[in-house]
Amino acid sequence: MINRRQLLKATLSAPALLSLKGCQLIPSKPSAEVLIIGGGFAGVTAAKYIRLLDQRIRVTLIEPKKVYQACPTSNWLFGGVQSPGATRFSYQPACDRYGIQMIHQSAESINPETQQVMLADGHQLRYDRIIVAPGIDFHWNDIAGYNRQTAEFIPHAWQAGSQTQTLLQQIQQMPNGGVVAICPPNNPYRCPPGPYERASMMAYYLKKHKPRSKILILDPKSRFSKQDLFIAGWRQHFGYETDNSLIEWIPIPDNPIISLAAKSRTVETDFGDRFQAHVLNIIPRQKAAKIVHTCGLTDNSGWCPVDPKSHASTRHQNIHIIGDAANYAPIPKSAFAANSEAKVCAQAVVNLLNDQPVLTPNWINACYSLITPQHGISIAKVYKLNQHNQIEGVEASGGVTSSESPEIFAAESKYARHWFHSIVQDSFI
Amino acid sequence: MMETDLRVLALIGYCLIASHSTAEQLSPQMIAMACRGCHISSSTQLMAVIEGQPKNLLINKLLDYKYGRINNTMMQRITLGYSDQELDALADYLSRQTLQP
Repeated sequence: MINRRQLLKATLSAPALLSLKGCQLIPSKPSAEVLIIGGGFAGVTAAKYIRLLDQRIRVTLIEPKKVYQACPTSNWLFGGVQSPGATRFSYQPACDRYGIQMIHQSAESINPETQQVMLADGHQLRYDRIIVAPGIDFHWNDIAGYNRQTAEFIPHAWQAGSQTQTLLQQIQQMPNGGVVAICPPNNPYRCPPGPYERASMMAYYLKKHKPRSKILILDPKSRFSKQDLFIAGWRQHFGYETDNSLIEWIPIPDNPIISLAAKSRTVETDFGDRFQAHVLNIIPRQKAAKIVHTCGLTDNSGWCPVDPKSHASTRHQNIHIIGDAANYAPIPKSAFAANSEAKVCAQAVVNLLNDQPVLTPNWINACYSLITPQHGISIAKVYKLNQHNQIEGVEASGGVTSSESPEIFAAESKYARHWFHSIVQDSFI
Repeated sequence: MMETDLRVLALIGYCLIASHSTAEQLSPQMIAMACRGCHISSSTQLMAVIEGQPKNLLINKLLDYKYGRINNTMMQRITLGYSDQELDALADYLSRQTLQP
């Protein structure tokens, strides 16, 4: 006689565990109910991998949008390297293929006591475990005059979609000799190299079409991700640090931007310095999305504290949090990291629901940026748990592209395109 | 020559540290899941398909990347994150997976 535990153990240690093929049905008599809030790289990957790991679990993905608009490579639009259609994905293929139940609604609240989620239409859904992956929200009180309404025409374009299109149109309509001002946020924020890749892609476009223009990066930080590689690239392609430089990086860590005159597109710093621009891209400081604040899952940092082994909230039981909303520092907030966290979390949730020990986690972050269509750069790191149950980058691993040769940068630009294709496939297809 | 020797020594030192930084060896499935962020698609050969490949081929490649015997933009940075034992178990695990569509 084989008992339940032995059977589960046998199932869990089967070698071809991740080789599920064909369309899977949503289980009608599930062994457990898992709800997932948020259909980004984190949420969809978690849904897919739970179904790959244990087909008896019913997975329900709650996401109001029917089509996902990806942030990675959205900056490439400014350089004419990417088309908007290539960053939009339907949820249908993954739902059909892996047997994921999809509900296109907003989740309004989570009740950790009754283990229920309230949907926008008032319906309640019960869960055994829930994975919350809602992404980011913005601090709207840092810059007087900048709010959700002004952001419609002075876009942050940091959640991909209509604001990215608005910003693109503004760049295309700007006169030759115009000024673009990009105002990146303070750490931590989604996609640390993003503002600098955006400046690069815009500079690539301006160099061809409006070469007398200038991009100012008004930065509250005095260091940024892949800095040496970006600056070397800007020197090579955009005359960086010459009088005709297309890009000027202005670190103002002690003199932050405190107000905006929206009509004249002018920002003012604490010391009264003013910067007027034809195109203004203010990327506000960030925090976890609203739902986790209303459910008490955040701490004073504005992000969600988690146990890095199980990815469970340290605030409430049976709730796991992954992606940009959670604090997995030193792992950066990237789509690749969200995908990596989602797989570790899926394994932990499956094991916990099957009374199995949680496996020791392992994460990889790999992130590519383009400076021009033929000049790619990357940063990577392997992360493990140390003996104090803290996430730590493996010292020998990772780092940035370690070459100055054009052939390597050209190879990296090809890898960047493939990287996007792969991470989308692993998450959404 | 001298400089190269020192760099090799430093690399070996790093690897020893990497091998001993965690007491517990990671499960190969955990590592394999992380690899799939890049190595999932068979539509282009730029990032190799790794599932269902012979173990010998996989472990030789992984160790060649780790010890810098093949030039590659990314893979040394990744493989240096794992002990040789972890890479061996990973190669074994991957070789037993069926190829993804």
